[in-house]
Amino acid sequence: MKAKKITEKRILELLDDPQFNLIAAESPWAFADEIEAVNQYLMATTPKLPEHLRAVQPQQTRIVGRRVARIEDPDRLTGQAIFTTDVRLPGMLHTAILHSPHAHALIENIDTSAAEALPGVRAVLTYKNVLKERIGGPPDMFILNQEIHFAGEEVAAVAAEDIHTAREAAGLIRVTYRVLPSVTDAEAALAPGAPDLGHGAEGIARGNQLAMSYPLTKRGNFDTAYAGAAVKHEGTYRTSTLQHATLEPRAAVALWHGPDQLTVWASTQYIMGVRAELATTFGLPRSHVRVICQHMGGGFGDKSSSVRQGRIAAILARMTQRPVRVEYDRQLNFNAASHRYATVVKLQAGADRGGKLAAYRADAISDSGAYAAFSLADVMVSLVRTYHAENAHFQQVSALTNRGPSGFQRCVGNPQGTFCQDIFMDELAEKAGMDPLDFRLANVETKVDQDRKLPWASCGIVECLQEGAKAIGWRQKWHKPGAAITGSKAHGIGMTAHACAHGSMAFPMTAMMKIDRDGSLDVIQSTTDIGGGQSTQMMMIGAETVGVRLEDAHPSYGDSAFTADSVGTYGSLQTMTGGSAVRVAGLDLKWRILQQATKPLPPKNAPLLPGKPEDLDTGDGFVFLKADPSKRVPIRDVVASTGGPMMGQGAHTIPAGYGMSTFAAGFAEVEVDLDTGDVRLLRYVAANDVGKAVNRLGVEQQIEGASSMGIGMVLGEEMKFDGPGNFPVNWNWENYAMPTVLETPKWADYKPIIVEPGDAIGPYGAKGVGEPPTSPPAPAIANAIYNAIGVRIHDAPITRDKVLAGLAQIRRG
Amino acid sequence: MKSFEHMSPTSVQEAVKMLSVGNARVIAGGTDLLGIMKDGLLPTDRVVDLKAIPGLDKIREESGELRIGALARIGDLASSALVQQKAPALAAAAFAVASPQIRNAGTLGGNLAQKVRCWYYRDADRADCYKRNGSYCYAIFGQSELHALFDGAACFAVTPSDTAIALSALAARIVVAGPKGEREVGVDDFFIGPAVDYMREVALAADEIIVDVRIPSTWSAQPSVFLKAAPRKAIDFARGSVGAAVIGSPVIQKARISLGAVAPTPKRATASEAFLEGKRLDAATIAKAAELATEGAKPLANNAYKIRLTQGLVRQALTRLAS
Ligand SMILES: Cc1cc2nc3c(=O)[nH]c(=O)nc-3n(C[C@H](O)[C@H](O)[C@H](O)COP(=O)(O)OP(=O)(O)OC[C@H]3O[C@@H](n4cnc5c(N)ncnc54)[C@H](O)[C@@H]3O)c2cc1C
Ligand code: SF4
Repeated sequence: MKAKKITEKRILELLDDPQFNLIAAESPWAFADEIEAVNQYLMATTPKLPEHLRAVQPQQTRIVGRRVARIEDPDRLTGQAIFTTDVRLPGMLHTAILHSPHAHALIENIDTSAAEALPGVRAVLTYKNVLKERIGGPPDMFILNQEIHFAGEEVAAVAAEDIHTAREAAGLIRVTYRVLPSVTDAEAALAPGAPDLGHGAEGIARGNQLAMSYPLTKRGNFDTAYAGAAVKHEGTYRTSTLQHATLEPRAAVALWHGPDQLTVWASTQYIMGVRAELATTFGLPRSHVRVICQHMGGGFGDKSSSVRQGRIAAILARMTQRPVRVEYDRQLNFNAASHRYATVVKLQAGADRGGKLAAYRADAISDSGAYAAFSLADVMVSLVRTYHAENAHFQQVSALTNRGPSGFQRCVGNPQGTFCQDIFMDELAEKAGMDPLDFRLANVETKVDQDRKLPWASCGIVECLQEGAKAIGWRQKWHKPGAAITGSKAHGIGMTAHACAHGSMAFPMTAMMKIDRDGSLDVIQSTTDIGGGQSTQMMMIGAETVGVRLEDAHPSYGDSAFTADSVGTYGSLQTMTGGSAVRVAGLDLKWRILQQATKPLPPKNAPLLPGKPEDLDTGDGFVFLKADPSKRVPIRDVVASTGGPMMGQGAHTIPAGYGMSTFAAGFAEVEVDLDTGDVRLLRYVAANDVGKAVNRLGVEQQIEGASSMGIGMVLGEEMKFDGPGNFPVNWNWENYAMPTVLETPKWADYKPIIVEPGDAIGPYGAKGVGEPPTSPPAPAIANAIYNAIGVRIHDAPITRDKVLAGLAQIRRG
Repeated sequence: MKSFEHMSPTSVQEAVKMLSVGNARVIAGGTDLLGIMKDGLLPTDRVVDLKAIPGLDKIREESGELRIGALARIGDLASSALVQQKAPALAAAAFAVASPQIRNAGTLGGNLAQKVRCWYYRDADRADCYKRNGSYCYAIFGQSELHALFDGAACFAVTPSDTAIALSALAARIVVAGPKGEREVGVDDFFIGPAVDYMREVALAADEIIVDVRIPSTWSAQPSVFLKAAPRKAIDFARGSVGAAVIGSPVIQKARISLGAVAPTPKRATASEAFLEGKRLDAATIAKAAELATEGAKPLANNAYKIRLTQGLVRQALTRLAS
């Protein structure tokens, strides 16, 4: 791979671009050169943690590592939490959005006169009267398009006094479409004779193949090593298009104060990104835009930008001089929100007689969907890092199709890549005559990032595999495929090994810390808490670092008015990034407190405590002498002695010289009904290397939530498209089969194992955990199904029709 | 939703009269109708609410029959000791419906008269499907995994009702009230396929109301079962289901087997029923009866899995009846 030259000017532009932050976090390989340049720049320019702050790091943890309920739980559980969709302002208008029934079409005419004439309608927005701002792509995605690229795409928006009037008016808009040829399958889109979606002319694609893609990664010589391998295997694996199906749909409420001050309540993972986008849209200074998101009803990667909904709300609000609320209805949210992209991965590998991987090759096609705006559809991140392979070749192409826009869904590409990879590895283990667990233990990469040649900042993959195997009883339960059938029920057990960049990445971020005269601590950060317990964890890190009791700490978050610009909550990076900024701000404040405690005070000119700041420590709300902890004063007295609150501030520091990764293993036990093809998940064990658990309860909740989404990916979730029409058919919760509580194992059989090797970079050794547990369940369950019935199914989801077809290969009647 | 008129009659006669005007529809629990109205699938300017009519929700034994008022809630059917004892298949089918919330609001009458769940029919964008008074069936060339193996013609949507399958196995009769008084119709004649009229699923005129459902003494208190397969354990409509009841043990005198989710109506497995008469339920007999159940199936592009599924369900149902 040839490195591009990136100028300093470009680096500074990229650093200021919320889109870049997002892509860098979610698809780190898509702009590998840019990201490398930005990282180098930050490493050179970001101050290292100063010596004096290093000297006052807490000696032992008192709060980090505890089990703490999320601070928002009481509000949420009693229905008092105010989500974006709950915001109601005096005089607020409601919006209905008309969508396209066609997968690919040009709007030839759009007549809004009847809609505008309906009493109660205040404004109608179409591509004709909306600001022509390119908000993503390729291909060109505007706030509203004249050329429609997928069925369900936003066509017009109506603001009216109530939602019923708005919907009725939307139904009165007459649109004349010129229907264009369409395709919703990536392989078909790349095949000769496919309908030309017309992006070639725009210079962003060759035919329907996206020009940008994951860079070709090569190590050693695959062909030679493969030719010489004792055991060879190849196979093709597929994953489907998934929807986040967030409980709270895309939503925003916009309010203007005069012509140049805008407040937006947005259901978003990235308040600062939305602020920057809206400032650009309206040509405002960023400080004139305030974005608020205190409670989030589910993002999972879809809500990393304000995309269309935020801009539509703000434009309609400006047109009408009224507050405007936009909430996507369920159909719109299923179809127009982003999707986890479908992939096809062809894998090929050779191993030596001892089962050691000698050559590994992956060729992937992924479906970028209608727009590549928010994802470049990578699937390679876990493939290049999980297994040790000196001779390797990883190649990917992405197709533009007429599915909805692709994007991130609780990880990027890894649920897809690992699904394919770990069924494949299971098959290779069998060919090599090895137990699947032994095969993984022999082949996982434990030391370095093989492409950047940097040692891992921490690696707990072996412990994940061993502890997980112990918890499920692998050695006792694993049997030959199809060898545990009783009556019409077959038992199976399967596993996965997984490594992921997510949870280990770090980006620039700031935090502030304020402690009042009464000793109460305000941990102020621009993190958006998306339900993953981010604010609680920041509060814990802040309280730990400053040395106050947890009860005396409070997090302020989710409001862009509070603090400086920083990244959003995606890529599982808030622990590393936000947590690290909070720790630095906490150390800064602590240093000031220790200095104040040793400063001679009038009238006696005596300090509160003897010695130098370095001789002191804090904890449980006190400053004390390290040598004699009984000599102590309450922190609040120290603060009060300054006459007012004290402040600390910090920025994340970027470490150099490490490869960063999270690791996981998954173990599943299933029962397959041979009559009906029903698959029941009996037991699931998720072992995750989190570096160090900041909030043990929060980590368990993240593992459980992410695992449930992994279970959904393999047991039912799939967006289905009508063949001839290329429009989605199952865009609701009735027909899109997300698992319910009945499809996930009982808590006793749903075991999170927290592996804590301690990370060299993360705050208190912690790494993120929001996404990494999503990937292992699907391949582990697929492997367990194979172990039960003895037939391989390569395509997710593994639904009844596929199981029954598999059974037909081996069974009578 | 567009505005509409809401009426609360207190007698069946009054309700029937209110139904004879314009686009009037019965509403019971509203769990199906309100969704349909919100999506604008059926023009409705008046809803006639049956909930204020006294006595329509009784579950009782009368003249040796198990009788259930149309307004009995599905949750009550599932938990009724009388239904569990007299018609185990019906109690099981009721329990298999949707989720606790929907079972607590939905009624038996509404469950029988609900509209189909074909995903094209339920998509407001696909207004030209036959069932929406159009001239096209999307399922034929489209995604047909929900659709019928049997008796499709123009429309291939399957009957969504779980209770209907159990009632068909139990030879129930439906009592319908209209302007001319009451009439009784056998459950298998109550459901009509697209060959008769693709716009309607049930033999009800616009001003007729289901008032009662009756299970004859011959079939109540006989062993009966209902089994259902769906993507998830709750909420989902059946992808396959079977209601089965037998008279006679160990030698079967008479069997009734009804299949769900494979035809526009409950589909009686008549070949299996005939085969079982005079036989004992041993493994070979069960296997043969299961195979016969899907004889004549004509799968579309995506629903062939329903053949094996249905056979598997019949096998499991008969195995249960054998023990
Ligand atoms: C998410 C979801 C999942 C579901 N899953 C299942 C399932 O698994 N199995 C299943 O069987 N059903 C299922 N259903 C359907 C549900 O059972 C029905 O909606 C319910 O039984 C209807 O009863 P209701 O009283 O609410 O009817 P309503 O919604 O009030 O009425 C439904 C229809 O029946 C007509 N109607 C109602 N009562 C009468 C009467 N007495 N005489 C004449 N016409 C009448 C109405 O005019 C209307 O057309 C599901 C529904 C939902 C929303
Ligand atoms: S199966 Fe029936 S309801 Fe579905 S598209 Fe065809 S005609 Fe319409």
